[in-house]
Amino acid sequence: MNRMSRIIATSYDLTVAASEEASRFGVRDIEIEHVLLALVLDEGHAGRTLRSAGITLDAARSAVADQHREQLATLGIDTDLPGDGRIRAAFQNGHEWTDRATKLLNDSGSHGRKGDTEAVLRAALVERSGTIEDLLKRLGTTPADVASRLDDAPDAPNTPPPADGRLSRTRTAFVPAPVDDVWAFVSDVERLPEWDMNLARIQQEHGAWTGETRTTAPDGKRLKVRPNVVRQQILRTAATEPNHVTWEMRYPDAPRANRRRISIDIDPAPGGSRITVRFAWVRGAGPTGLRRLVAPVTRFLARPIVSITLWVQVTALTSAISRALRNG
Amino acid sequence: MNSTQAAAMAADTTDPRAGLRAVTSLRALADALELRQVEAGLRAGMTWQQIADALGVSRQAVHKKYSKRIDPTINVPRRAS
Repeated sequence: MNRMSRIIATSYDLTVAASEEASRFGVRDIEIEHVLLALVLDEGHAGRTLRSAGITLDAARSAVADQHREQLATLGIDTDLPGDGRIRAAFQNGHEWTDRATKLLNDSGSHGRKGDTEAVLRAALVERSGTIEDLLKRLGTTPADVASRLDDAPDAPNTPPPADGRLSRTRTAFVPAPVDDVWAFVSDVERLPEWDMNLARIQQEHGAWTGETRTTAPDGKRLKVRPNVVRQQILRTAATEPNHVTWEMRYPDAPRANRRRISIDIDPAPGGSRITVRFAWVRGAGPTGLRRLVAPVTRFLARPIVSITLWVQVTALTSAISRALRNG
Repeated sequence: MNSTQAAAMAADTTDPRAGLRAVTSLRALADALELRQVEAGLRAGMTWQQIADALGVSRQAVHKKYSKRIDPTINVPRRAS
C-alpha cells in the first residue's frame, strides 16, 4: 500500500470508529478523545500498544465521560454529556472533524511520517491541549510510557490473510469481545441482517433460509436493485466452532449471476478477538448471447470500480460486526 | 450547589488552561443539546424555518449544519416556508 492509499485508509477507518464512539456521547463532531477511542480499537501497532498498556475500550469510554463530567463540574454544571451510550452513527455521514482532530491526521501524514494509525497516535501523544495526557493518566499511563511502548519492535502479525483474487478482498480488525461472543454473533443465521447490510431481512422457508435484498436506504431513499436479485438463498457452507464460518448467498431468480461469499476467521487477541473477513464474488455462469461476447471487455473496463466496491463492501461488513459487538 | 456558587466557579480564572479545557466540554454539551432539540423539533413537525427562528439563526444555517447530522429516520418536510 502506498503512502497516499494508507493515509486515505487510515482516515476512513478512524472516521468510522471515531464517529461511532462520538455518537455514544450524543455529539456529531469528531474530537481528539474520539480519535483516541478509535485508536484503542485499531488492529495495528497503535491499537496493540494501547491495549498492551492495559487500556480497554470500556475503561477509555469511562475516562472520556469522567473527563467531560469533571470539566463541566468546574464550570458549575452537574451533568454528563447527553448521549445514551448507544452507537447511532451507522449510515450517517454528518460527522465533521474538529480543527484539532483534523490536525492530528494532518500531522500524521506530513514531514515524511507514514500516515498510519501509529503516526496518528504519536501525534495524539504530543497534542498540546493536555486532553490526551489527562485521559491517559486516568487510564493509568502517560504519553511517555505509550511512546516508549510504541518504540518497541512491533509484535509479528499473526498469520497473514490469504492473497486476494480479482473478485475478493480481505480485511482484519480488532473487536473488543471474546472469541465465543464473536462466534455466536457471526455464525447465527438469524443475526445476519445485523451486520450484512445487503440483507433487509431473512426468513425460513421449507427448512431453508432465504433473505431479501435491502431496497431502501435507512434515510428512506430507494436503492437501485434488479428485481431478480431481491431474493437470496442463504447457506452456511463451512463452520468450525468457534474460529471459522463461511456464508454464501445465491440468487435463485438469477441463476447465472455471481454469488456472494463471506468468510470470517476469529482468533483470540489480547483484550478481545482478531477477525479476518473475506468478501468474494464467486463467478456464476455469466451472461448469454451477445452480452457474453462483450463481457471480457466490460470486466476489464470495470476493474477499478470493482476493486473499490470490494474494498467498500468488506470494510462495511467488518465495521458492522465491530459496531454490533461494541453496542452489546 | 446554588446558582451563586456555580457562577463563582464558572468565573474562576485561576487556572486558565483547565478553564479553557472545561469550555470545550461546555461546547460539546451545548452542541449535543442543540442536536437533540433540533431532532425533537423535527419529530414534532416543526419546519427548518421554525427551528431557525427559535435558535435565532437563518434557515440556511440550521439546514446546512443539521440536515445530514440528524437521525436519518426522521421524516423531514422537503421544503417549508
